[in-house]
Amino acid sequence: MYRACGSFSETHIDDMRLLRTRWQWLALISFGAVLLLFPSLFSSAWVRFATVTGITIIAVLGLQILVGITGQISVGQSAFMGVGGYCAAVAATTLNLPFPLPIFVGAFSAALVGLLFGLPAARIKGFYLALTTLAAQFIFTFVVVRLPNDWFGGAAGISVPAPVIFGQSIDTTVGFYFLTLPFTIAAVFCALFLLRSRVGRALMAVRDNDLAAEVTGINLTYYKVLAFGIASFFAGTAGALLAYENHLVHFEQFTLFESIWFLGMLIVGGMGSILGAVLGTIALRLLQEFLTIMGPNLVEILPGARYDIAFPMINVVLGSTIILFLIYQPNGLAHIYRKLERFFRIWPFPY
Amino acid sequence: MEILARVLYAGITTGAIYAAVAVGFNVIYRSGRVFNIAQGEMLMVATFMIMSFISFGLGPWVAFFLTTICMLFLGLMIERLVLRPLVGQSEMTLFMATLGVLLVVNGLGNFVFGAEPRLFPEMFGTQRWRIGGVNVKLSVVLGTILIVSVVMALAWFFKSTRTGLFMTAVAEDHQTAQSLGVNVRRSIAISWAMAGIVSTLAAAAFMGGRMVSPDIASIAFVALPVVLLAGLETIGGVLIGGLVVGVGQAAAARWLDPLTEGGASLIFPFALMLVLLMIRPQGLFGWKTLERI
Repeated sequence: MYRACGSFSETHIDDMRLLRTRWQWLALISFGAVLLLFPSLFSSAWVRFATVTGITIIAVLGLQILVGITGQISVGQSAFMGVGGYCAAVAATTLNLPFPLPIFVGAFSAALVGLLFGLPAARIKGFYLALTTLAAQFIFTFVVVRLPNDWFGGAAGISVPAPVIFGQSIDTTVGFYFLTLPFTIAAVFCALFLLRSRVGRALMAVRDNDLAAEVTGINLTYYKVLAFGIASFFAGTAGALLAYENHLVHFEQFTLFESIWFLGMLIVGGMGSILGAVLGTIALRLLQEFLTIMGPNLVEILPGARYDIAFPMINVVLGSTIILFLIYQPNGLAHIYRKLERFFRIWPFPY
Repeated sequence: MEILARVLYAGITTGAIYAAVAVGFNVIYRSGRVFNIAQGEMLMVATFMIMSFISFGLGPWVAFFLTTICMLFLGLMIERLVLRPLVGQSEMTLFMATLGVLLVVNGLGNFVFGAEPRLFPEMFGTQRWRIGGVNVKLSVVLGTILIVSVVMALAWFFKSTRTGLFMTAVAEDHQTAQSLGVNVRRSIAISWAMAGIVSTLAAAAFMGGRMVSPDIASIAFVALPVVLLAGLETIGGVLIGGLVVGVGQAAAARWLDPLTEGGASLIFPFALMLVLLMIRPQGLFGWKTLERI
């Protein structure tokens, strides 16, 4: 790792600092300012896009902790998101809890379900584990649809009332943007600091070689199951926020394809890096948005195309993006960023 | 007794469908150590290809033959374009690559064939009999027999032929196999081609008389419990796995569904899978591998 010129560490605390130079502080503050000014700079469609992207970032960060940091594959992240969304919706409607509580209810109940599906990790690994999360995806849909309608609303879903903070009902696009922003920022920092903690290092040890990790005294089962719990906690938070944002939870929002797209965002962003999760999410969300807007136009260009072209198009493009990144840029956008950073640090010298 | 016979018939025939899909997973895993999550998509493509060829005015057998050849090349193409560049990467990477393949093929399938359901023509006629109070459909029975014999033939192939043993060796360890003179690339390519052919067979055997849309690809996910129950490395074992899951599901549909609004039979395979994985992680017939640091 190359550090900025003149940045020396004299104590351990100095050495661990995330922000070392004045320029980094300046960049962070100006980035924060851009985030705050975003709604006044862009149209409401883009603000809504940013809100959903922020929510997705939370879910993908959770998945990053599970897949990128702990090395357990999961193709059920959107099911856990759904659990969070549904539980938050039930908390907000049936139990009538005031605003921030349903989100915590959603997050913790998703974490519980996640722990439950992480339990097989005690015995199995690799694909087999990935496939139990796939089972989570299917069981989620079946359960939600088949349970009595007054529990989870059955096939119709549950409509969620607008959140009320300090007597103020939030139902504008900008309002939701500012509702999501603190959660996204908190999620990013939680993930960032988690990696620097004992838990994070233990998770990385499990990823690098789980047998070696166990030999060095890391309780394998505990940390694997914990990783599932953390990932589902993030997913649950994201699901609850999404429920508020859409005013509705419906099982069709939480499909297997969503889960695969989340994995795609990780691959494009870069495995094992928090920055990667954020970059990958933004990149693929932009691509998705672009295709959704372009879809109707493409129908006219391509001969013999049908109306419902946007969804298959997204799948084709995302799928090929995943494959291309795996083959040509397996470390993702985060790696490109780091290479660029290094290039400019030592510029004009080549090394 | 009559009810039991009906449950058994339904169970065995659905079990055979699951086995047909499951064997596609296992054939690929048995040499490439790739878990091809896009297996259902291959089945979908095969189904629609047969339908398209028939709608061009070809006879069902010609259509079937042409589709087999096309699917063989599709399998080879996926292997060549996606998995060969990733040779030597971790199993996780390969798994994610097949997730990418799933997205691409699913998208293209929706794009080319359209999302609206269509009727798949009957390949073996529509004859039905009543045996002991059970409505038996000839085509389904033929399909079941076909699949059982194909799976048995594959099991024999992997156990007793030179190429099959090479492929088994490749499954155990790519590097060791390569150093002992086994052509690893060829073995993996063969397994992909075989998976393509098997999915054509499954499509021809079981889609007759059904309404099909690109969503039928999701049958692969319902077949996953069969794969895990039997173990990823077994070929013949999928028959027993399919039998257990199929009959269990039919029984759940008959006796538990009235109590649970039809949920029990859908959840049964997954619940069985989760329980079984806790008890016997490698499945009934999977290889138990030792790990060293």
